Amino acid sequence: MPQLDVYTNDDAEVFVMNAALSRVARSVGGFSDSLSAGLYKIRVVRAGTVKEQLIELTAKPQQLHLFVSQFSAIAPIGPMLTDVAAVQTLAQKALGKQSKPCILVLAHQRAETADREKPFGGASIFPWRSTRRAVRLDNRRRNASIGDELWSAVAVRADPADGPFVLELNQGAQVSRQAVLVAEGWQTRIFLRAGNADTAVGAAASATEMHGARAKQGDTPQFDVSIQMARPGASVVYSDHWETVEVARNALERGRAIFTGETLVSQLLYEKFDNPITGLTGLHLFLDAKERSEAGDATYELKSTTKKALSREGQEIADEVLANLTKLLHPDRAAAAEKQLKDDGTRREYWEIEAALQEVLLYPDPDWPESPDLTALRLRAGRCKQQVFVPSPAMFRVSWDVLKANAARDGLTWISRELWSSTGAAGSRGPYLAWARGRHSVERTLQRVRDQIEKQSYAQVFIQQVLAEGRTDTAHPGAALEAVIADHGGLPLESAAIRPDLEAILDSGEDMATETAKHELAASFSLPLSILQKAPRNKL
Amino acid sequence: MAASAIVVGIGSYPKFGKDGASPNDLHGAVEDAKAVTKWLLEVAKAEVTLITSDGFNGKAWTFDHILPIRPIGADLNAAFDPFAKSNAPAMGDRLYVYVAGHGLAPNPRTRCLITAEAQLPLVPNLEVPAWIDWFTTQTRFDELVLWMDCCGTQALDYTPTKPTGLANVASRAGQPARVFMAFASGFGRDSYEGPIGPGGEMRGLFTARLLKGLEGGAADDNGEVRSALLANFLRNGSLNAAGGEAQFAMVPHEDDMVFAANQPHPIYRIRVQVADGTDMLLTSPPGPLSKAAKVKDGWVSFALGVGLYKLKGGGLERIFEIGATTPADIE
Repeated sequence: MPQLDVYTNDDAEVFVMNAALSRVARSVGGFSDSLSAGLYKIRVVRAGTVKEQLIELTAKPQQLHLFVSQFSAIAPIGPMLTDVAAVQTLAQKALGKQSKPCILVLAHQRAETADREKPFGGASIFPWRSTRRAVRLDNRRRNASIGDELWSAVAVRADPADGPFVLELNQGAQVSRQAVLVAEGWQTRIFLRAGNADTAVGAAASATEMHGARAKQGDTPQFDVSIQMARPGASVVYSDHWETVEVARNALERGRAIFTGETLVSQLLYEKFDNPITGLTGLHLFLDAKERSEAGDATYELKSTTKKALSREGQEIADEVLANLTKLLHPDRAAAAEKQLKDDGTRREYWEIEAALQEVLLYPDPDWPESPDLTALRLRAGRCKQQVFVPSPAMFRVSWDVLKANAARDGLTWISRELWSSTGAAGSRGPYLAWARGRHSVERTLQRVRDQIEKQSYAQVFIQQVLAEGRTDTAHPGAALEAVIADHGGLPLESAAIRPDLEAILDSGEDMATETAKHELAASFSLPLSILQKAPRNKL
Repeated sequence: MAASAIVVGIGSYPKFGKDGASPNDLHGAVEDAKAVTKWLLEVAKAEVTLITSDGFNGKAWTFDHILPIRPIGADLNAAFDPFAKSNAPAMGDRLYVYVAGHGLAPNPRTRCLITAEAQLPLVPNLEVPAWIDWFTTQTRFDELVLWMDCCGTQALDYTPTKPTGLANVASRAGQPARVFMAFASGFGRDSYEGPIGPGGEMRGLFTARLLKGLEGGAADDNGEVRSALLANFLRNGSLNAAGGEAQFAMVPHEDDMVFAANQPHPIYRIRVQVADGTDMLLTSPPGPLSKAAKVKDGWVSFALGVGLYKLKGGGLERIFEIGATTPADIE
């Protein structure tokens, strides 16, 4: 059979489709295999941008070069900028002689529609527990016109002891908030891109087809967000393989499990040392692929060549990344643990200390509160032995969903009613958890559930009336429904079917309801069970 | 047994504008729902429950202080309830569910239809795939079909809402029911409507492509429209200049089932820079297909289904694809 080799970016997905346009192969970072002769479509996807080529494979081998060099990036990617030095200079001016830990915020948008006085659209940053210390980003901005864009930069002091921080953005009728991770020895960088190019429209519509509603000119900029970390002094502009930080962010947002190839897994193992957020993102994606592979999808399996090259299996890779991330994000904990191992009286060789330290750092330590995103990764990797109290919202949406799913009195996490009152059900912005400003008490959440259930019975009465009257239009009157009602003497109304247990929760609180009812309510409305339960003694 | 269908088209969102007070209507959703209803009645021979902004099965909504805007999630759930709460172990071979309206995706694997009373920052919704997930474990239907012409973007403050309090009164032993599920766009992506209806009326792009596929665009050589080819049709087609992934539908589930039979392939015209009267040969290796046609006025025409084709003749050789986004005239 003829050989087909497809060369592409290390972080690009490759799909091979046959003459019926059925997918016959998937890989990341390139493709190399023998296929039957015939017509094929090769599709390469990188950060949402697609390139395709149609080929006929005959007896001779073929090589294709399908690289995606331009994609919609939020963080500044060198080859996609018109003036790299100008962006670097602007960032440096904002940082000034800042020697204390800080958060650097860099925004870019089309110059013709930008408000130079408020390029950040009223956004602010504050410590998670202290809104009164909010810093309005527009007040300290520095602007520069670079190409046809306005770039703006500001640096905000951020002591990791006060963390996490919260980024608050004005988005028209909504004010959104999201968590921003800060850590000792790292500079957190928030990149904002005003979504005024609307590349999605161009991507989806032909020349004769139009989008529905659009934001009007002059509206508050709607920002896309990318949050990264770097060592203080490191370049703000990404180049070469560092474009993967943006590809990975996009992949996490879209649910694309791309961390299966050798190059990306190597980067996950070794290069998070320059950006721990790459490690958090990459490990989520790696575990996504592992879960899909274990569920039976062989295209997400870690290749034997990769395992051999890295001398590790999947769980070992996840463990190593977890331990390393703990060292990077919580160096004090790592140092204390290492000291304890050295001072405990047991004679160990250096490599034995390292191995023991790795084992200790795999698991959370209740004496060392940690990033909720790190806790979520431990849960996914099966490295949580005892319940962890979640002190603040996670930065990534996928992390929050994992923490919520495990939050219960007998679960591995505890999300308190107080924490819930800050975020409520919450939503997403890109791959990040985002919530509306305001108070989201458990009582208010349950009231909305009650409203929904009550409207159900009201709606059913109307529908039953319609069916009883036999009203029709050109559509069929719904004979199936009529038959059911006729056979069973009427439509069972929801109000009659609301379980007494659910009523008890909604009316009287969790004391009156059974655990089964609470489980059901939590599952139906994606609530953490812990907010319906009494807190364990040590969480009070 | 007959198939059943629940069809929803929400076009009126009186308070869903960005300022939290103005409308954010979709001009094609109700007509899209009616077009799908027509196909379900005429081709699928299904019994349809139709819910739109106008009313329920032809009766206009009533409004009051409890339900001032409709349809809401409770209206939609009320349509599902009889199928869920019946004591009959089996209700039909297949249940179709079609929804058109604003949407959001809480995670990459599901989709929610936003209901009419939405007003930012609150986004009431129904996670329709959750109904399908429940039905797959019951014996009510052997096959479930879900088509959602809704955006898959994210919202800030919402409670993803699954159906509540469902008991397993007719649990299915062994394999779950078969499922075909298609969404208008991938996770985090918008879906669109455009002036593609009669007289330039607005219609959902996904619904138009879905109907095109069901009516023959995704048929095999025997005229049968089955899951695999329908999925391939929806996921492929000519790539536009922007090269974005957003233009293609997402088909997360495609268990094999037949949607239609005896459907003719649509006619496509391909531009060729060869002399009129030249014989052109169309193949699709490694398959046995071989069709011939003459060039006329710079075009050659063939009736084609989804797939890749090679056209040869007059010194010209070119490969092209037929998918949902492929125009009728291929330049």
